[in-house]
Amino acid sequence: MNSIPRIDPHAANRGFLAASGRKRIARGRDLAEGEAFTASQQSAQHQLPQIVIKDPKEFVLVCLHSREGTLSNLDREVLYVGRVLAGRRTDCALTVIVFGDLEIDMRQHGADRVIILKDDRYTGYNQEEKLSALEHLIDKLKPQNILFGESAEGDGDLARRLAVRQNMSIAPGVIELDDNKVRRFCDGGWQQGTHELTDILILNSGTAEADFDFETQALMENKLAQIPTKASTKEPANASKVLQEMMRSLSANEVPLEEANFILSGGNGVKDFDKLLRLAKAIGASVGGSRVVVDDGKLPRECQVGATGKTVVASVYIAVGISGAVQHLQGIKDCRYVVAVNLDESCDMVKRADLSLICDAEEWMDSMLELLGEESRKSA
Amino acid sequence: MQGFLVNQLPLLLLGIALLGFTAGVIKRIGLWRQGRHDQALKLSNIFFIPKRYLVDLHHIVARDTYIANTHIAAAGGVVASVLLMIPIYGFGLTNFYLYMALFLATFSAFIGGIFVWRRRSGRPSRLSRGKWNGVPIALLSFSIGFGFLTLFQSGYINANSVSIISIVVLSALATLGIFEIAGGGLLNRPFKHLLSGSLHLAFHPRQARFKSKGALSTDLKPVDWEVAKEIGTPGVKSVKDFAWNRLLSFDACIECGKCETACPAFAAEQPLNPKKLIQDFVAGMENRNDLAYAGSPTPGIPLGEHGGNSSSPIISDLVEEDTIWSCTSCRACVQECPMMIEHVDAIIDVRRDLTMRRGNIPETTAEALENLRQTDNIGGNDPKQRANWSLDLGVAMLKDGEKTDVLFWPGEAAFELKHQKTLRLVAQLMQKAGIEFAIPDLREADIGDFARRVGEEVLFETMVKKNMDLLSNYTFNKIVTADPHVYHSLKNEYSSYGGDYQIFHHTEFLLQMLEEGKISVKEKISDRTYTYHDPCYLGRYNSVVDAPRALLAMTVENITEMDKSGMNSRCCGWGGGAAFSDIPGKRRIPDMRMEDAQQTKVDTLVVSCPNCMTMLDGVVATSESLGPLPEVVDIAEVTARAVAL
Repeated sequence: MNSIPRIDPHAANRGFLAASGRKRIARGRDLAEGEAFTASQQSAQHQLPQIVIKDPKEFVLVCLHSREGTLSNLDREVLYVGRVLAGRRTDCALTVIVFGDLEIDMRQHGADRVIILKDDRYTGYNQEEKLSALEHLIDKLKPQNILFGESAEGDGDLARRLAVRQNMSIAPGVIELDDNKVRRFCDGGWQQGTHELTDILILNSGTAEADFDFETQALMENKLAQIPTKASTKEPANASKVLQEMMRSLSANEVPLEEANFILSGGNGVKDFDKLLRLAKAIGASVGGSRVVVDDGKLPRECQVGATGKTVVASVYIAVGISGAVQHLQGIKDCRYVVAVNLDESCDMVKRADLSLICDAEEWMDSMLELLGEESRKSA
Repeated sequence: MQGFLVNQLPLLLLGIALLGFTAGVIKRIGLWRQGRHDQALKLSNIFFIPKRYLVDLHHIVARDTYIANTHIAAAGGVVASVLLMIPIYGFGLTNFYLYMALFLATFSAFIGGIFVWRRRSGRPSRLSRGKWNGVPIALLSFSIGFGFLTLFQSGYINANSVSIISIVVLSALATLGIFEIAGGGLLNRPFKHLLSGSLHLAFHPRQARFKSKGALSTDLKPVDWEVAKEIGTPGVKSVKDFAWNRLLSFDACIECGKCETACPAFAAEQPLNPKKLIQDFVAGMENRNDLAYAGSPTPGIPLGEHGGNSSSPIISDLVEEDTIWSCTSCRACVQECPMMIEHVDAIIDVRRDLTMRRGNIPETTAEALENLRQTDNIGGNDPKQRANWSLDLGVAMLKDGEKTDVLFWPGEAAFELKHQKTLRLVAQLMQKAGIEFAIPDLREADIGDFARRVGEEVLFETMVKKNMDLLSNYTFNKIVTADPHVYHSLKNEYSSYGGDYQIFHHTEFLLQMLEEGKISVKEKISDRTYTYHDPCYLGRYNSVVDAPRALLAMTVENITEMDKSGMNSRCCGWGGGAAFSDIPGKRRIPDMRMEDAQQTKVDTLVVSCPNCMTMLDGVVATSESLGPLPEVVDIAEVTARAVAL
C-alpha cells in the first residue's frame, strides 16, 4: 500500500479544500466527529442564534469596500472568518470598516459593530486617506487582527501599506485558517506555508464558506466614523487615476461562467433562445444552459452547466425550463440562490430552488422583458 | 508430372508448411517477447489448451451457434487433415481407413469454408475484410486441393484419367491453402490465430477465467510498484510495457468485431472501436502503420495517421487520447470476445500512464479527482453531510468498536437528492423488516472505483486504506449497499488488500427479505409496465442478473425485457469516468439506452444503481425522441410501493 500523506478532510476543526481547489475552514454548524444527528438538532437550526457583545474589550477589524451599496462574495467570506476569529475570544467584537455606503443588513453578515466611511475623500484609489483613517481607528481600538480580502479593488494593497506603516506582521494570500495558524501561498503560488496568526491577514477568495447561520447586532459606531481630516501630501496627484485606468468593467457575457455572479440558464423548456439572450442582457446576467440545449447547438459548449460542463458558483442562478437532472444539479451545488422557472412543480430543480415560479418559460421571459422595458422607459 | 503432383507434392508442401509454421512460431515468439516478462506462468500451461479450448472457450463461442459449428468443422478439419497427412505422406502409411479419415477431414474443412464464406458474403460491417477475405479462400482451396489429391493418391480415382490441367489447378489450390494456413504466423496473416489463439488460452493474463465454465474475473489488478519503477510508468506508455502474454492476447484477435457491435461508445460514434484499439497495439507490435487494417475504423479517426513500433508512445503514435477516455469500462467487449481478450485492462493500463505519469486527464475528470483527494467524495461535498439523508429516520451511526448485523453503506449516493430517495427507502424497508442495521460514521470515503477506473491507482489505494481502517473498527455480519460500484469494489477489488466482506446489493437483500417473509407484498403493481436495466457492475461484473428479476417478478405484474439485457445489457454511459470525460460523439450513450427502453413500450424503466439513475434520468425528451420517455425509478421504489411502505 502506498501511503502518501494527504490532507485529512475528516479531521475535526480543520479546513478542507473544496471543488476547484478552494479551501474552506470548518464551519460552525458542523458536528463533532462521530456525534450522532438528531431530529431536534436539525429543527433547532431554523432559529438563528443571536450573538450579542455588550461591552467589547477586544476587537477584530475587517476592512472592506462596498460596491453600489452591497458586498462581494469575498467580502462576505472575510466577514465570516472575522466573526469566527472574534468568537474565539470573550468580549471580542467584530468591527467592520466599510469604505463607501452600505444598503444591506449587516446583522446577517456577522458584524458586531459597523463603521461606515462614506466621505468623498475615500472614493477611488485614495490609499493615503484610507490609511490615515485606518491608523486613526487602530489607535483607538487596538485590534487583535485586521482582515482584508485579496480583491481586485486594492484591499490587499491597502493592507500591505498598513503593515509597513504600522510595523505589523502580515500574511497575504491566505487560503486556510484554523485556531492558531494560517496556510498561505508562497513563492508565487508554487508552494504553501503555514505560520502563526499574524496582525494583518489578507484572505484569498474561497477561504471560507460564508454561511451565516447566526445573527449579530451590527451597531453603528457613528462617533468613531468621525475621522479628523489630515492633509496628505505623499500621494501623487494623479494616483486616483491608477485604479480606474487598470480596471475595466466586463459585460456579463464576457465573464467566464465559472466566475459569473449572476447566471440566467436555459433548458429544454425554452424555445426562443434569442429571447433568453435578450433577457440576460437586460438584467445583466451571464448565460448558461443545460446539456440538451448545448447538444442541440442552441447555445455554445462553453455555456454548458453541470458535472460534464462548468461548475458554477453564482450568487443567483435562474434556471429557466430546466428540470434539474442530477448532473446539472451537481454543477450548481455551490450557487447561493437558485430560482426555478418551470411548468412542472414536481421537478428536481423546483426541489432544489430557493424560489420557484411555476409558469411557462416563454411567458415569464415575455413579461420580464416587458417590465424591464417599462423600467427603462421610466428612467429615460 | 502427374505422378509428382499426386505423390510427391503433398509431402513437399507439408514439409515447407511445417518449416514455415516453425519459422512463424519463432517470429511471433520474438514479437510477443517485446513485452516485459510477467508473472510466473508455467510452460506446462500448454497442456491446459485442449480443455480450455473445448470447454471454456467453446462456452463463449457457442453463444453464436452458427460460427461455433463452423469453427468445429473448419478447425477440426484442418488440424485433423494435417495430423493425418504426416503418417500418410511422411511415412507412407497407407490404408483405407487413413485415407477415408483424411478425406473426411478435408471435407469437414470444406464445409467449414463454405459456412465461413456464407457468413462473410453479406459483408457485415463488423467483420474485417482485406487479408481476412483469405480465410474462406484458404479453407476452400486447402480442402478441395488436398481432398482430391488424397483421392488421386489413394488410387480411388485414377489420376491418369484426369486432365493434367485439373491436377495442376488442384495442386495450386492445395499449395495456396496450406501456405495461407501454415504461413499466418510468418506473414502476419489471419491464420496466425491458430497459434496465438491457442497459446493465449494457455497463458491468459486472467487464469481465473478458466476455473469453471463461464467463470468471471472482473477485478482490476493492483499496480505492481516494483515493475512500475523498472519500466518507468505505473501503466503502459508503449506496447513493450505490456507483459508478453498481453501482447500474445492482442495477437490472438480474429477481428470478428463482436466487441464493436457491443461497445456503447462505438455505437454512439465516440472515437473508440475496441477491435481497432487492439489492432493498433498489434500494429505497434509488428512495427507498422494501421493501413493494413480493413475493418470499421475508429469513428472520426481516418486510417493511415497512426503507426509505430513497440517503443513508440502509444499516445498518440498508435492511439488517440480521446479513444482511451471514451471507454465506460462496461466490459461488453470482453464479455463478447470469443478470443477472451481483455480490452478493458489494456485501456486502464494506458489510463494509468496518462493519469499518474503524464497527468494528462480530461478537465472535468481532473476536477472530480481533486474533489476526491480533498473531500473524499467525487462531488466535492462536505463529508460531514454524508448522513444528512438519514436525519429523520433514526438510523444508527456506528461508532468505533460497536456492533451491528447489517452495515448499510450509502456511498456517493448520500449527497444527491435523487439517490437519497433510494437510500431512504432501502433503510425504511430494512426498518420495516426489523433488521438491525447501522451506517458508518462520517469518516467513510468514496469506495475508489472512479479513481481506479480513470487510472489514479494511488488515490484508489488511499481510499481502500481509509475504508478498510474504518471497517476494521466495526463488528458486523454483512454489508448492504445500493451502489453496484461499491458492491463490486468491496466484493472483488478490496480482496487484493486483504478485505474480506460478505456483501449484498440491495436487489439481493430486498429479495432475501421478501423470500424470508420479513416484508411481504401487499399487492403486485399492475397499473404500470416495467423494464429493467442491468448495471454493468452488477450484471456483467458480478453476474447478479437473476435477483433483480426475481424481485420484480414478486412485486410487479408487467415486465418486458429489453433486447440488450442481463449479461448483454447496454451501459448507461457513466462507468469508468466516462460521464466526466464526456468525449463527444454523434450521440450520447444514455440517449441510446433510453431508446432501448422505449422500444419495449413500457412506462417505467427500473434501475438499481445511482449512476445509471444519474445518466438515464438525465435524458430529456427532444423532437427526435421515439416518444414520451419512461419514468426512471430505482428498484427500491418499486419494492416500497408493492409492500405498501
